[in-house]
Amino acid sequence: MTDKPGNNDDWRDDTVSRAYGELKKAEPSADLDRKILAEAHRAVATEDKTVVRVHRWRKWSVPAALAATVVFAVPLVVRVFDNVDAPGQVPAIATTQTAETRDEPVPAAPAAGRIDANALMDPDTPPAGNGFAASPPPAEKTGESEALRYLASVPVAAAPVAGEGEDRDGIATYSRLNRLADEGPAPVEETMGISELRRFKPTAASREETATTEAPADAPVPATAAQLPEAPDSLKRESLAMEPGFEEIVVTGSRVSPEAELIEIARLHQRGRVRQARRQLGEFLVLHPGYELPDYFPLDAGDAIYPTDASGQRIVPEADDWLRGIAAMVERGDSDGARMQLAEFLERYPDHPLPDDFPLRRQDASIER
Amino acid sequence: MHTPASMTMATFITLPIERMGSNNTFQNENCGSTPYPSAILPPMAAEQSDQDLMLRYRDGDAAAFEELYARHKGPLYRYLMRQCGHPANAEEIFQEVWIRVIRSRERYKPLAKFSTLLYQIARNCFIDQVRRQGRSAIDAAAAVEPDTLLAGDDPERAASLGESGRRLTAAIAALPHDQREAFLLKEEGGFALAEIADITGTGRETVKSRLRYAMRKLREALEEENHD
Repeated sequence: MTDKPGNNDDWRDDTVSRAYGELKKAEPSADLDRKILAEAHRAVATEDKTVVRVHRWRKWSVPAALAATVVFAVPLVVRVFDNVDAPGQVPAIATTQTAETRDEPVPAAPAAGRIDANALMDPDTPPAGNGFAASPPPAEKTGESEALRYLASVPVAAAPVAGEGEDRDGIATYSRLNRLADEGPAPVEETMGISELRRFKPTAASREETATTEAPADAPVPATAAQLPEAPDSLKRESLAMEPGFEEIVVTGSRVSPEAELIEIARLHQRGRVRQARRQLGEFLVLHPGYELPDYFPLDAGDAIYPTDASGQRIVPEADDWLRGIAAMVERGDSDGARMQLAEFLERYPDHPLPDDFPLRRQDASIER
Repeated sequence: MHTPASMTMATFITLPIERMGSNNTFQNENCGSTPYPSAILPPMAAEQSDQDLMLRYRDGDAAAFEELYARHKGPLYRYLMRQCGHPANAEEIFQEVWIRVIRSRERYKPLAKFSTLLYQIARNCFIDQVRRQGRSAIDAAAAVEPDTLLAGDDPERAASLGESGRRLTAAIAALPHDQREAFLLKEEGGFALAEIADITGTGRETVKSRLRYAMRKLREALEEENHD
């Protein structure tokens, strides 16, 4: 680029430029020249391999990434479809859909997905509009639920059943329960529910209920008091005999620990047999009043459906056991639950004295349930 | 690959003024991006040769760099010498400038005059040194002996300089930094006003004004010698 000379070009001066031109003699030292030229040669000598390597990588980076994606993604998709088609392998979504048509319809949650426990205290009085009467037959009877057979046979961490709303930790709950089941102190036969281990003596109401619920056709006939001596030694008889019409609870087979019973209940819940699980929880709480349910247990004590006698009266624990359970609730800090339990206790045992060392007084009983 | 045809086309491209920091620029590693001059580059054979040499060196021809270095080493060295005022500092910056040229050769594209880029790198490196050493780096140019500015470390060359050379050298060293910079870019780099404006990041009229003041002072210094 040149700047044309003009009238206002005093920014250039030929005299000065000529004088300065004679001063243009300084040069860098020869040593400095050698250093720079050596660096230039060295850079050229080592550059090609590095540059080519980078360019090759950049050139092939995108195709390589796409190829890697295909290599990893295609087998994964194929495997997923293989699992779906394989016998006994049911995807989680199929489990959920099947469970929604299970034998135990879930009442509509009043709020935040929770079931109104008080409304469920009487199993014979279904909440209005919850479709109890229209519930389909159990899947075990129809044999149509592949998902449940799969879940019953394999203790897997399955997704919680949609619509239940009682699951606390979802998959983690069942995983922990299954792990506990594996480590549990007393093994439970996989195909036997807890009702098969402990069964109420049939009454008119219970017989009718049994006929319409989950009890298998070949279930052991409940033992009566007269039959008990014929049973093996391992049979243990426990009589509640608290209400007229109710005779006894017979525990058959090996006595299982409370933890194992809860695991079995949780498995029922996992398989979608929610109502049965709640009933079994009621039985469990009759035998273990005030038992602290684990945090990961999918049901609350308020979800329990307690057993009833022939007259429809709720069966409750024995007085002393119940009081011990209430005391245990106070001890672990569940004072509200303890007061409600005490109110129920006093309703059923109004004349029963409270022990001197009992942590609650009669006036502490709360009628709010 | 850049063919001569593409190089010719590139020389007529109007280059952007703003600084460019992308990979396709001739980027200084530590001094920031190099701006392209906002000028239509003339198809001068010498400049094309500079670019051609740099392209050849980019492609691995070390001999091209030797030729390129031989063309620009003197003017660049003197520019730095008179900017820094001390041979040691000038040599340090001089070496750093060429090292940056060597290391950034892979990103070189013939979009601007090589000399413009070279002096831009040199200016940035000088600014870096000023930041490191403070104002003393600029003041050193005025404090240095004229013989050193004239001849560097060569005593015989310094002895051969006349009194006019010493006066002019002293007057150059006494110029304000901006005026001295504009003067040296014009005389050593051979740049026009617009190119100096691009290198220094100022306006063309500002450069002209600086040069006008510089020339007036240097002319007065030479006239004083004649009066004496």
